Amino acid sequence: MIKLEYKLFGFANGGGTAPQFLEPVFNDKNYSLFVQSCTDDSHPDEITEFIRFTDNVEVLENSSEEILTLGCLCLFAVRDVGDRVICGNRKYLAKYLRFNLNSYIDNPYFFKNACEFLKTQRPELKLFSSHSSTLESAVFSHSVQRFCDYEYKEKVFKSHNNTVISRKPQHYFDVFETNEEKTVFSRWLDFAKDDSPRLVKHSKWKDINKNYISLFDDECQVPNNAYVFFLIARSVLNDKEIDIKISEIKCKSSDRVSITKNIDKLTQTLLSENYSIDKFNINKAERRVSSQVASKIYSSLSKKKTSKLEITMLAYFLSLVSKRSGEISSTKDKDYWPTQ
Amino acid sequence: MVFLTILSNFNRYQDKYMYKTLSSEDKKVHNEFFIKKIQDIAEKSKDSCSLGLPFFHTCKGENLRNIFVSRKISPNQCKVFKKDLTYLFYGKPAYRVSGDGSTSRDCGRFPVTFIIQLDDSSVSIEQAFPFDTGAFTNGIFEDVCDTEKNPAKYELGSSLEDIRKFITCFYGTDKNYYYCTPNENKDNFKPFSFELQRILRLIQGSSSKRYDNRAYTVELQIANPIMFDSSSIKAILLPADYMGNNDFDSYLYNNNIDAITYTLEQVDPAHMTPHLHALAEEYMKSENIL
Repeated sequence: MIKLEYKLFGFANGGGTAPQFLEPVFNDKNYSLFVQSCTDDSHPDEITEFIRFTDNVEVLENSSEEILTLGCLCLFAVRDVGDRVICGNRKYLAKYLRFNLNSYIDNPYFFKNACEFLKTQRPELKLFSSHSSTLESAVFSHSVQRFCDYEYKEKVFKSHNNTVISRKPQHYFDVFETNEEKTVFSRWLDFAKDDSPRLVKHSKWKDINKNYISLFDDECQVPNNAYVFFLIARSVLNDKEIDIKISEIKCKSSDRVSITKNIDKLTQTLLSENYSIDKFNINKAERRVSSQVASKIYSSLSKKKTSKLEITMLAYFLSLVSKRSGEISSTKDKDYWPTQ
Repeated sequence: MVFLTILSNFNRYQDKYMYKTLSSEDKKVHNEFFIKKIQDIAEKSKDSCSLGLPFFHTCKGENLRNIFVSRKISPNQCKVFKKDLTYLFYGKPAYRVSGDGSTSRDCGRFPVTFIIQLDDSSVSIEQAFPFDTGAFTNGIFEDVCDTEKNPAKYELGSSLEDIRKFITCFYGTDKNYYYCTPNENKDNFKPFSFELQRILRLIQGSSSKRYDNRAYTVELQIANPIMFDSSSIKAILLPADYMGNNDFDSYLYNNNIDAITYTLEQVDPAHMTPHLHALAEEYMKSENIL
């Protein structure tokens, strides 16, 4: 029996803003349109049927010559920022999403969907655990982005004789603004009083500056690099054995010197693991800061001065400013386009 | 010939199910054997409904844009009642968006449901009914209600208190109403309260047809706009595709309106109704109102 062939025609746009998942649309030899259906639980990614597609919605055209038949692996597609459409089987799209996951951090709704697609757990998902907390995080993300733009303009105006330059400088977000000694968190809180009053008054984000200060309160030197803090904090939080390790810090020994040694050991292990597989795309100076941050986070968690959720919130904030300053982007690590 | 047959069927249909205001004589009967009966039973009931569940308004997603821009849910012309009305359902998102059976990924075709808290002072209730009048006038309950063609004979009244009494009469509590567990009091409705007996049959599902919850969900008809802000709207169930818009997200958040999202799949939008029910139930439980 000859299997009917269906050519990938394009992608139905759900109508939302990018990034978003798309529905691949196919045409048969008579140019009737179809969508794939996969209903075989034992082979969940195999196409079992092509269903007639009659939606009157925008369809993004496809330029490839992909042809599918029943039994083929179904296609998944995402419209990324910049209208770039990524399409392939589950494995292919998963590879793309996994690599670019950090760049979706400012869109909690898509980030959650992407994590679900990847079946992966990320510390940030704790901030999006309910409908209301997801909405709150989305609003927080919008606010931080506006704050970044505001701060950027302020800095550019101050430093360039009121002439706006088009390219954003890298690393323009230090955690501390040295001349005023205000953290980026307290600057956002000031900004958000007008921009998002409810966040400042009635949300968990209102204490973010206090959380940061309490994390470093007995430290004479504090890290001043948002991107490094985000990378380190995320790696600590990603560690599935973090709770065991933290409890061991105190269990193994009660004297201060031994505790410090244990923390140093944990810090070195974390950093060496991450450097060796080049997860941290940071320079030598930043590596020095990273050691200090990791040690401080381990120490605070073991002393219960701070919680994992508070660290996650700090890291999330700093990931947003890093994203806005261009330090996290899907194009930072060269244009990643995996081959099938 | 074919045209005449269609016309004749149409006229029969028109004659069969149509809203007509009750005559003064019928009103007297309605009051005696329907309204008063409900009140009497409610007063004697050992339970009392607190009317603590929210109301639900469902529309197609494409209407959300106008609601967001105008900041209100405005009444639309109703073909059955010949008035501008907004339809709400008590405790359950019973309305289902119409589908032609075709599947879709167009979020404008998928349902958006508003979870609404009402009080008598904020709305002008035109009428309340014990079921979805749209389903009634389409003859969906005809094997139970066939002898009554006019939904006016089932009017509960025009205040929240009337609805509270109806629920107390038939169910006792909100929870019994939600889970469709009526009080077994059919003898109270005999011999002349035919409409109440039929409502009980609809609730008990003692029909050869299988109804959905439109048969036993209280419908409210509202004449004035419902403001799309924190004064009335508690939450909104909607496709996740609408989220991520800076203005929309912030508006919902600043108005303390929860956004309960669902993921679009290539299905008939009308089939999303059970999913909306599950989301609504989850919401009410999380808010400790169910």
